[in-house]
Amino acid sequence: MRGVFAAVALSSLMTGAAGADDARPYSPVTQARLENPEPRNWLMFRRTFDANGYSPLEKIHTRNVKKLAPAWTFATGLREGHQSPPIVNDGVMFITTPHNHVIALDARTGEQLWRYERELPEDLMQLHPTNRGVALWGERVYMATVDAFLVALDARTGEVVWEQQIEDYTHGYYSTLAPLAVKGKILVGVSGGEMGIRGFVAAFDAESGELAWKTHTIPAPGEPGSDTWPGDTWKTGGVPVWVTGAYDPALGLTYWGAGNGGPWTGDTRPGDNLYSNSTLALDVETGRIVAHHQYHWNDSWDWDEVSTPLLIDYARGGKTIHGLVHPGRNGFLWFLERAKDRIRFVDAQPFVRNDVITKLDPVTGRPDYDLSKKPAVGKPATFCPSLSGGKNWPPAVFSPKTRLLYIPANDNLCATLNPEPATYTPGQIYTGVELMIGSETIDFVLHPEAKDHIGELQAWRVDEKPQQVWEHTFKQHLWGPLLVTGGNLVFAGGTNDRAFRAFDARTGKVLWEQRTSSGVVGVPTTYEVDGVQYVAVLSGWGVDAERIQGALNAKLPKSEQVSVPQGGVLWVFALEK
Amino acid sequence: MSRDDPDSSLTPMLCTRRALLGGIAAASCLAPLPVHAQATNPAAKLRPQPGDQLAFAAGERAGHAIAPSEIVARAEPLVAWPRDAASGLLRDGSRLNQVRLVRLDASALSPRTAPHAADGIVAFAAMCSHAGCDVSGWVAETRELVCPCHGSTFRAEDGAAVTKGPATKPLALLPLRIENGELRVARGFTRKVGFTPV
Repeated sequence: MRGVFAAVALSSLMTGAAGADDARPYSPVTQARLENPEPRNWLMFRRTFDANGYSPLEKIHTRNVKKLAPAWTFATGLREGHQSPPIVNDGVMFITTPHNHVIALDARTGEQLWRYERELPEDLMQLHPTNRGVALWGERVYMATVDAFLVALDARTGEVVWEQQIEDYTHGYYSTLAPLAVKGKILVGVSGGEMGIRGFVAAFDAESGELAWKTHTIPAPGEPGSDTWPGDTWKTGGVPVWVTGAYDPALGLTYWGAGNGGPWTGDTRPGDNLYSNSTLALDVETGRIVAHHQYHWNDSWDWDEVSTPLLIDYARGGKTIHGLVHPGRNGFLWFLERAKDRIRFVDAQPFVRNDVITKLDPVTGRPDYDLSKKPAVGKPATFCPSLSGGKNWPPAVFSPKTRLLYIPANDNLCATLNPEPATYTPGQIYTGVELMIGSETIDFVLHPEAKDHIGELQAWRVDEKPQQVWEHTFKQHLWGPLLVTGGNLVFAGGTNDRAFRAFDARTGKVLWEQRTSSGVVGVPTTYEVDGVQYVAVLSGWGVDAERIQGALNAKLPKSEQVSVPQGGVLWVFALEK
Repeated sequence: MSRDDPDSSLTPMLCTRRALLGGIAAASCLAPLPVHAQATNPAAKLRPQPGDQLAFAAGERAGHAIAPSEIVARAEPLVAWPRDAASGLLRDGSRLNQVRLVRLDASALSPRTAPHAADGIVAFAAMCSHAGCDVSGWVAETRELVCPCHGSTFRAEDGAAVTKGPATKPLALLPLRIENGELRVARGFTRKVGFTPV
């Protein structure tokens, strides 16, 4: 393993008021605070370890939300997809941007405290120019970078404390996820499933930056599950990890979503391909794989199940099940049980149209496929949902108040894959299909019902017999990460009209909306400073939302084609006085 | 071809004083066999230099100099590395050095392409000006270069200007000349190669 780099700002440019604001108080982040965060704060990607994305704040609620108005804004000066949640620790906010800038702001006034700008290598290829936020531990701020480094910054000044290489970017590894801070370790995963990587989750010591453990998502020969990969396919089989995991303090287990195999169609790697398209339960101390559940085997649809399941305790037959709930990219809503030594399948059902999975084993949940819908080299196939899935990475949320799960979904969008044989070259695309939708190898197909809508914000009851309670539809696709609050509000952007909206969490009624500067693909958060509740979100369209928009535009009449302006702006809202 | 595969490295032709004096190996010295770069060799990372040859980046003749006649009209772009003419060293130590060669109708070239072309042959940086992906697509009907990662397109005949984003800047061109029937680099890239960092 490579050594820890010296604590100098060698590869960064740091600006701001470092030194000038040394007197500004900063509250160190501890395991106890992460396990039981103050209601006013948003200390990690999904606010709490259970990945519920719920804040108990309720000063902004269904009856007064119509008075929500911009309090201040902040332009990042950058293009591309702005996806990070504004993370707030006692009045200090941290956002990240494409090209790996970290900006610290006064969460009340919007004053910039400092800014770190990573100098990226000039030969870098960025398939996904984005970043999904920081992790906090002690008095440090952690960011994983698109050139596959983990950087530790001083939370007060933005100065680099250390930086550690996660993997070699010239071999296709990169990181876009927010790290997860747990018990003095900083956990990260790697993207690069399109470039023949071998995925993993790694933990680094928060203090020193030394590697604590590294667990691959593809077993090496001789390890359990290695017989599910033929020949040398395990070396370049993908299975990336690019969404932040969850953690159960009672079990000491951390849960991570592992993505699809590469190349994209399963004929290139016959077998189940463990642990692709699975949720993994890892011992947080050692990284040991304690349990897994594979949602679908031998993926051939780019249904990349990287989203982390929500830790929700739900009822079945009058009993409480300590659960994992996963609205999958494959369009099924999965209910699992989590325990010390296993993950057990409970039940599942589609939440959007899926014409590939014909049935599930009632005990294990293993799906059967309509093989005519499974593309392979020389055997094109059309299938639903499309490769972008029934739900992509934008996180779902659960409210303990309404007992409803909210899913940002897309329906009526299908796809055709017509893959070609792929040759592995380090650091190059290794999918067997061109990534530009609309080519001979890959295309979207609009289901006739797409005339009505594609995007769906869905609310599901999780207890006893899961059932959809309400749905709000959008004419085109939805790329909106969600926030749900104690004020019974669901917040979401994600549409190409640049709107950011508040919905009544009980009924789905739109109660408020604001047209923003760009399209909103950022994770919204809420926090309180000096007794005032704020809602914050980055507007900055790009990455996959833009890619899919381009593909849709190619299918739609000119009157329905949309071009969304780029440029990142943080919007912070509060109630008008 | 993998840069990391030792078997893909061809043995360099040593051009000794004796060989030069004897004249026997002179031909080999003038047209040395390709020397694949070691990651540590700074000359392999150096941007293309005036007088460099262009060499096949892949295929059976990987590393060998490309003759103008091998770049055929209406064919897909040919992927190439610059190659030091004297030593045969391939400048394959950086992705920023790779180019794509096409032969276009010389009369159709705009003033933004024409000065950099040689007999209709134009070299474009292989790396997209948007996010650094390989610009591997080609639409023959419109002579557009296409980046598959995010869908940007560039008009080959018009200085690789952006015809569809998200790219906001043209691709760099590598000016060419033909010298004694050989294809050579005339000048350095017309603009900085690589992604736009904003």
